[in-house]
Amino acid sequence: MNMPLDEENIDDITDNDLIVLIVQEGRRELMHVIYDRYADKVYHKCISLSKDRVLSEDLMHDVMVKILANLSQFKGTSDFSFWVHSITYNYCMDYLRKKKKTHVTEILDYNTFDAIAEDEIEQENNILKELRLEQLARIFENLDSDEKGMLLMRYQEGLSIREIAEMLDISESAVKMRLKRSRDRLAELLKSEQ
Amino acid sequence: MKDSIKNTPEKTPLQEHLECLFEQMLPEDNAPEDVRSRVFDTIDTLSLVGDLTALFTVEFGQSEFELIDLLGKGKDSDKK
Repeated sequence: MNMPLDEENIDDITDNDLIVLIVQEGRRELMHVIYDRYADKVYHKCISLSKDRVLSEDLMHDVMVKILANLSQFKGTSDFSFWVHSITYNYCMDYLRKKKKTHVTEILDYNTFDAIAEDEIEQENNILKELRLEQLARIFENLDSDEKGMLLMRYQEGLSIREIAEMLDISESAVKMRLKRSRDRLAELLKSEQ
Repeated sequence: MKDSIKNTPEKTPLQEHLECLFEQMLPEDNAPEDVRSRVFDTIDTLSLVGDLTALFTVEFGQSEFELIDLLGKGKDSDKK
């Protein structure tokens, strides 16, 4: 039996409960609620990564289709927003890498980062403490998509090192290393601008 | 999402500074409304393709087995 849902109680339903209703009870009309909750976030992420509004519409279309068509694959073991974010990030990055035909090559040894806490590594970069918003907006364009992605996940999404590692399916040491490299590049661009 | 990092160690001044800057860089525009119809058209098409595939694989195969079974039973009763 279908539970009656009006606009008032739809907001109270958690993502996980909505997914159960869609997947197990075939309430496909509720996909629109999921869409409304995440469309803007997905769109913003696509814009942040691609810096191209037209391309972002296509990326957002593909990501939302991927999410809605695969709701049955969501196991509920993690936060749904994390799952959405993970699909968005990985889809956009795959697209941007293929477009540029670049590959991430890790030269440094990850193990050197194992014993170092992220905050200790962050302390090294004093020049970034002077960074201002208009400078960041300008030099951010010159970073490559992997560097942009790492910085956005860490400083815009507020994800932890562990969460980023889980999302990218890499080790925490590798995340620390990529973050350090992205911050170093940001500092390098800032220096060259000054 | 931010709730998930509440248990992490205290933030460094640099981390706080960068978070503050990056938050201000968040795009403000909403997702274009026409993307919604494109998304749901694609979902409908995928669903239709899925239904047709099921019809010609699982369900068709199942009904064929049932038919063969019925024919077999028919032959057995003819022999009697």
